[in-house]
Amino acid sequence: MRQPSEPRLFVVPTPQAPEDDAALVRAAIEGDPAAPGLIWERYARLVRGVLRRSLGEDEVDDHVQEVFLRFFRQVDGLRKPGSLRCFLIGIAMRVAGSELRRRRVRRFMRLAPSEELESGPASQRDDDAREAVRRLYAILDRVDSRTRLLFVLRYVEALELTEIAESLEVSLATTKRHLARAGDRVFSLAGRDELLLAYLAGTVNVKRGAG
Amino acid sequence: MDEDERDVVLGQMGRLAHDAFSDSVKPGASAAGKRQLRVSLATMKPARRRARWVAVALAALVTFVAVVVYRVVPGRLDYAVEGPAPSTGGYLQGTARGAAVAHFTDGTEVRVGAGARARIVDVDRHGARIALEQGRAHLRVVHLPEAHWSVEAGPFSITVTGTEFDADWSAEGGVLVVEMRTGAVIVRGPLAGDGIGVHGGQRLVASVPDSRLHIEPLATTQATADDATGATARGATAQTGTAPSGNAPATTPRTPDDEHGATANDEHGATANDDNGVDTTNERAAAAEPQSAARARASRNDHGASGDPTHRARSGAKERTGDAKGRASDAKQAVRDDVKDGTGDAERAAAPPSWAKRVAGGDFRGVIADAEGRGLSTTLAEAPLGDLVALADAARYTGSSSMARDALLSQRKRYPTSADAKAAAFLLGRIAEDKGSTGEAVDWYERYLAEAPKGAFAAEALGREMLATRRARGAAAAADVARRYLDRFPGGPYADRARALAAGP
Repeated sequence: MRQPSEPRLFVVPTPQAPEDDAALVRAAIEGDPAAPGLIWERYARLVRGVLRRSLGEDEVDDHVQEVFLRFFRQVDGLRKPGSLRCFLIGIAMRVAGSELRRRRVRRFMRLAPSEELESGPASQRDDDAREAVRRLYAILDRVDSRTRLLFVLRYVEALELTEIAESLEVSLATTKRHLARAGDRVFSLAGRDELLLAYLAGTVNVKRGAG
Repeated sequence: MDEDERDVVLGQMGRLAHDAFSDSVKPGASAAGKRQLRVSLATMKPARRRARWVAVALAALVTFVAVVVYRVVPGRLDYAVEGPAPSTGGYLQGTARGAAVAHFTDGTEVRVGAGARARIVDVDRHGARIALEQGRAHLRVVHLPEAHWSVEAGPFSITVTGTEFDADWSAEGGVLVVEMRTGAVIVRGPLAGDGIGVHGGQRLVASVPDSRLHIEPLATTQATADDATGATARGATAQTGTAPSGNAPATTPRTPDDEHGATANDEHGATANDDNGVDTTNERAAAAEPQSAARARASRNDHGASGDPTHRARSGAKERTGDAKGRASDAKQAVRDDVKDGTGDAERAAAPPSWAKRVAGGDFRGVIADAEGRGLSTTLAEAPLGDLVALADAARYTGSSSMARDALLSQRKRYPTSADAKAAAFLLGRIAEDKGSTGEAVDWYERYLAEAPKGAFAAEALGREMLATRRARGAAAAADVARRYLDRFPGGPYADRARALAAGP
C-alpha cells in the first residue's frame, strides 16, 4: 500500500505543435486552443495573397478573417485532414466569389462606382506597370467569377492542376476543361488590348488611360 | 496565336498580377489578424456549445413527448376470451355449458349467451366492431373519451359510445331486438333510416321481413324478453304486449314466405298508442341521433305517424333518397297547415293535435271519423300531405284498405315528387298484395323501385316482387327477379329464397 507521502507521478498533456497539416486539423477538431494560431501562422499569408490577387486590397483583412472563421466552422467535416491547404484555398475562392458577386450587384445597382484597384503595385512599379495591372483587372472584371478565380489560381498563384481540382472539389478533367475555357476567355479579351500585350512583350510602355 | 503562345501570354499576365500584390504583410498585421481570429473563435465557440445544448435539449424534449404520448394515448385495445368453447380469431360462441365472454383491456365486456355466435371483427384503440351472427349478446361498454364500439347484426348496425345493453339477432327470422340498460345507442339499418336513438330503459324491435320497427319501454316486456329464447319470439311478444287496445288485433309475426299474412292490422306499429311508447321516447332519442334522422323525426311530427315503423322508415327513405323537393314540400306544407289552421307558435299549444299526432297516439278511428266528417272526397282533394299520410296510416291500421289506397293514391297524384308519394307506391303494392292482386302488386313494387331505387323499401319491394312474380307467373319468371335481388342485396332477408329461385328447379 502506498504511503500518503509517497510522491506521485502525473503526466500532464500539453498541446504540441503538430508537424503536418493532418495533425493541425485533428488538433483543431479536438479543440486544441493552440491550433487556430498555428493554422493562421501557416496559411494566413497564402490566403491573404490569393484574396488580394483575386479581389484587390479593399477589405482583404476582413475576407481573410472570414476564410478562417469558415474553416473552423467546417473543420469537423473535413474529409481529408491532410488537404488543409487546398481546403483553405477552396474556402478563399468561395469567399472571393461571394465578394465578386456582391460587388457586381452593387455595381449593377449603382451603389458603388466601378471597382478600381486602390493600391496597385506594391513596390517599384512605374506608371506603365500600374496601368498594365489596371488593364488586366479590367479584363478580369469583365469575366465571370469562376473564370476570374480559375485564372488567379492557375496563372497568378501558379497552383498545380491537382491542387486547383482539390480546392474546388471537382475532378481533374473538369478542372482542365474549365481552365481551358477560362484561359481562352481571358486571352481573348487580352488580345483586344494591344497596349497590354505590348507591355507584356516589353516592346512598348502602356500609356495611362489608353485602351 | 497558338496554344503555347496563349499560355505564355497568360503566364505573363499572371506574373504581372502576382508581382503587383506581394505576399508581404505589414509588421504586426499578421499578429493582429491572429488575435482577431482568436477573439472571433472565442465568441463563436459558445454558440457552438449552445447549439449543442439546444440539440440535446431538443432531443430530450422529443423523448419526453414520445413517452407522454406513448403513456397517455392508449394503444390498440386487446382482449381475452373466456368461455366453454375455444376461441380463435375473435370468434365467440356460447354453448349450453355457458356464455363466451370477451374481456377488453379498457374494461368493456361482451358476453355471448348460450346458442349465440359473434365475432370480434376489428379492434382499434377506441373500441371494436363486433358482428353478431346469431343470438343474444350482452355488452357492457365502458364510456371513455372517443370510445367507439359497434355491433353489426345482419343488415343492422348499432353504434355505441358507452352503455350496457343486450342485442339479439335472429338471422333466420330477420329480427333484431336491442334492450338498453343504460346509456344510448344508435341503430341503423333497413328500417331505421339514418339512425334511431335507443336509450336506457327502452327496447327496440326491428323485423326486416315484416318491415316493422318499434321502440317500447323495456320494463313492460322485461320479463317476457328475458325469458324468451329467440329473438323472433321476443319480437312477437313485444308487439303483442304493446298492441293498441281495441284498435287492432294482436300481431302474428310473419316471414316473407307468409304471403297471405300481410294485413293492415299487423302494420299498426304496436307502440303507437302506448303512452310511454315511441312518440315520447323519440323526443329523448332525437338528441342522440344524427341530424338527418332528427329532421326526419321533426318532419314526422308535422304530418306523419311517428309511432308507425313503416312511417319511420319512409321518413328515413326520404332522407336517404335526398328528396329535397319532398322535404321542401313538407316544410311548406307545415307552414300552410299553420296558416290554414290559424296556428302559430303562440296558438299551437291550444290547437287540436294534428292527425299525425293522433295517429301516433293510436287514435286511428278518430282520424278516420274526422276525414269522413269533412267528406272523404274533400279530404282527399284538399288535405295537406301530412294529413293524407296520417289518414293512409290510420286506414291501414284499422284494415280500411280501400280508404288507405285512396289516401295513398291522392298523395301520389297531388304530391308526385314527394318522398311520401314514392313510399306510397310500395304501400300500394302491399295493399294490392294483401288483396291478392299479385300483378298489380308487382307493378307497384316496380314503380317504387324505379322511383326510389335506393329507398328504404327497395330490398323489401324487390323481395316481395320476386315472391309475387313466383305466384303469378311461376318460378322461372321469378328467377330473373331473384337474380336482380341477389345482385343488389346478396345479404338481404330474401337472399336465401332468391338463391333457391335463381338456381332453378
